[in-house]
Amino acid sequence: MKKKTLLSLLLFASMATGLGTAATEQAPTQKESAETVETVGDSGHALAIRALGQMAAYLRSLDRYHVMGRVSRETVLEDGQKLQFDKEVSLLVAKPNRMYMETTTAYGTRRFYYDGKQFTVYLPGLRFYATFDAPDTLLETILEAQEKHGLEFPLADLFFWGTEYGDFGVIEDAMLVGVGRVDGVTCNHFAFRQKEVDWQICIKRGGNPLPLKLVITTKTQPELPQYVATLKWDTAPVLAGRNFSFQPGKDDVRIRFADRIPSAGKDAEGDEK
Amino acid sequence: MSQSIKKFATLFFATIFTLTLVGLTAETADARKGVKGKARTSVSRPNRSMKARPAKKMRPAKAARPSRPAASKPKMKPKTRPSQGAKVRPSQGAKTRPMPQGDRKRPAQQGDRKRPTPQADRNRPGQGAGKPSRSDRMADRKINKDINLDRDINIDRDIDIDVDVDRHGGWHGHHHHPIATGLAVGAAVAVGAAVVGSVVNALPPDCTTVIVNNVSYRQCGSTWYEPRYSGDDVTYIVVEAPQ
Repeated sequence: MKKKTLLSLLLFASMATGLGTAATEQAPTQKESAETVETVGDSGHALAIRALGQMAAYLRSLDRYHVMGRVSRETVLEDGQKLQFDKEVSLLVAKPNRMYMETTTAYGTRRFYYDGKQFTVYLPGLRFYATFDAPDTLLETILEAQEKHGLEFPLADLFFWGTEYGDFGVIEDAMLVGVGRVDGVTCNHFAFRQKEVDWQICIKRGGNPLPLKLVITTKTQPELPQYVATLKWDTAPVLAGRNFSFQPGKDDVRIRFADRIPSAGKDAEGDEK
Repeated sequence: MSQSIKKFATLFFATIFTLTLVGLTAETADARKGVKGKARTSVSRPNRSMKARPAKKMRPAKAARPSRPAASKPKMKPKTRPSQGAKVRPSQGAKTRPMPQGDRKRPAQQGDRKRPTPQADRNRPGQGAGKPSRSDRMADRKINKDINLDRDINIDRDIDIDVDVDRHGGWHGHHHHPIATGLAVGAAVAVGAAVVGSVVNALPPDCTTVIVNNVSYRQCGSTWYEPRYSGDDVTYIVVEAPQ
């Protein structure tokens, strides 16, 4: 009995320390610090929202990062049966505007290149690639890839959090669940409710508030399909030798994005080789 | 001794047979179920491909092209991608697309097409059934070259490209996985009768890669497909024969 009490006291203390440290990282005002201490221990809507803000700010402060993600996404069949599909993601981002991402499933590999000028998706198995002239910033490029070309990014929130597109104001309910542990790393487990999704995140404790796990439950479908991503971070990846520009090989063939309306003979951008 | 070997062999083959049967049954069952939705992958923004996409994204059809059946598909939820419903799998066999028969055959001469030779008259022995012989394909290449002023390159390795390389032991011997992109809803379009603008996830066998004006096409009999990158995968849209 006594041991148990001591244990929970320790847990509580370490949690408070973790949150406190995270809060001071981003140079908060005096008032915020005080609030943080006060709200630890209760469900803490404000605290949870603030933790998100700190994580987002930390993400945006990184001048480079490499994240390895394991992503599972549920698909709902017409009869309501749910299937889960896995994907491995390797994402390398370097400021100001470079990105390389590789996604792998049993059915194929996709490589995404962005060098500040062009964005390319390459399918090594089929030797197909599709390219568009990209905006100057990674954020705008991701938006254009999504909006104009219908591309899907498995870890898209990493690009949006901390920008105007990652609005935490839409969160209707937020709570601190407790302490989590992902791949041996302890993290603060938060849960949020929005109009269309419920989601959970586990944010690394201590000075580097990185998201270690993200769970998204889609409420717009009655079967509530889920998306789960667990992340491993390297915030000082070696960039030497990394290729952010796609160079088509001899046998690679350029194809168009599905949004592009075919018009034979008009494909000026096709003369890349 | 030999008795036990025989017994073992019988058991072995029986097991293989059973497994194959089970596998085939499972595959068929899977392929019959369409997908009605997926989990969102972002809390910040809804997945673009899960939103309704306007039909105008398709080819600006001249003539009377029927609208895509997905538009009126009752099972579709607002958040699912309508394109999924419209996707058809040639490998599915005998089902037919729910559309007026009269529209399925396009007029041979389409509007402002510059190419003088109508598609139907191109003397393509490989059409529809069976693998075209080498000389057939050589003939194809010659025709394409003639028509397209030497700009065509016939890669002639379609099967390697589409099936073998990216297979990884996947179902249907194809790189697409049967559920997430399969969506065997609409149905198969018989080669030669595919409607321009329809989208498939997998090609029929025996297609040839032809590059015209830097665009890569797959020619399967008299039907031409253009591969496109869509969402997370390659789909093939039926197009008119390139000029």
